[in-house]
Amino acid sequence: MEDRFNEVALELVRGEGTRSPILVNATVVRNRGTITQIRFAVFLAAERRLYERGLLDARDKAEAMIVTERADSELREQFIAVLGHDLRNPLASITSGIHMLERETLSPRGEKIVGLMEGSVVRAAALIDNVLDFARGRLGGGITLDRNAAEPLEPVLRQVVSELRSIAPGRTVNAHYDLDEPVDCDRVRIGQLLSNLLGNALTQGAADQSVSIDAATVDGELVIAVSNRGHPIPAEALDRLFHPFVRGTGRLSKGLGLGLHIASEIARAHGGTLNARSDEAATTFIFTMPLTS
Amino acid sequence: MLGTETVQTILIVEDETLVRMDSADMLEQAGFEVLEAADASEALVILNQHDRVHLLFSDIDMPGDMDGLDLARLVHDRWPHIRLLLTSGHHRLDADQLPDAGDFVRKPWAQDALIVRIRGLLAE
Repeated sequence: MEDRFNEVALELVRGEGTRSPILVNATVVRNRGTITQIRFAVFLAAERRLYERGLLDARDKAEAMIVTERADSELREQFIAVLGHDLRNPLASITSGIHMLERETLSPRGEKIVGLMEGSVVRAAALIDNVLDFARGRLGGGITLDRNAAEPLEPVLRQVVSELRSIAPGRTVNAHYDLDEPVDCDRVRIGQLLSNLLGNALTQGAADQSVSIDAATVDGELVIAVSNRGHPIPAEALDRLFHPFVRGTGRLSKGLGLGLHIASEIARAHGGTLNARSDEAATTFIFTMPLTS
Repeated sequence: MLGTETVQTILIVEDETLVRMDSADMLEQAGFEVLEAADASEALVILNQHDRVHLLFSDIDMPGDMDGLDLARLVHDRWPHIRLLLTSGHHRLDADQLPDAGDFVRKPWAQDALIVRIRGLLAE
């Protein structure tokens, strides 16, 4: 025997004649070269097999769980996609109807009604986007990006601003764009982020004051800042703004409180940040992300 | 070059009636002749009757046996000269999922950008 052997199979015969297969391991213990002990471990082969069986079962269960989890996440994505599609479809129909009416000759009252309807559709669409993203996040999925640096971002931002202007026809919204460089982003998502920030500024800001937007590519970053006037947000409340269900104290604060939360999630998914600062002069939300991922 | 310019015909396939009507209005205003179908089988009836459809503009999600992608593949097989433009707010398609003559535009599309895409496809 060397200093050890493993799993030597033997059979024990019990008094009543039954046989039990056993396995024996042995290890020599030396003290300064002299053998002082030989340790034997004897165990029933059946137990060993049981143990191995248990390990295999555990592995199979773990693999089955991974498969179930994957199927669950596919089902979840499908559910959210179909729900989103079914909720947006009727809105798309209403939007088409509104566009056709706009091409007709309408009375001034008719024009006003059509404008308000358009604003309502924009609000409903934004709400659907935010709720679906929130559900996706809570159900374990994250915000997925469809990045494209080749297409320009500015038309998407302009479209968002014009839609939000239709929601708040009486308000002044000043937008300034300085986007010289390509931005590797999901344009629809960045549009959603701007829509959420602008929607927040319009509902929380002073009604008789303007809202301003600055979008620029500076020093390798995209920076979008949205400012409104009005009562400053207390410092202790600033940190909580991006938590879900936090609602402001503005005139129209009956929303779900998801807009800023989803905006910050979109910022995070792009490797960027969303910060807020507020003083007597203005409340400003600043989104920053690297131009390239 | 008066008289040499031919009006090009687009077949719109879209199950949402208001969306289809709006798209048809818009494309007619842009100078195209427009035919309308509510699903793939209506589209095939029209294609069998008209031999001058230049472009198929189809939604992907539609009721019935065939979706827009199946329709596009069939049209490409039978009428290879017809250009294909698919649209969806739900699916995203890459170029390699489409027949050769095809392109994809995500909903909601901007009117001007859509017309540029259509003119581009028809000029190929």
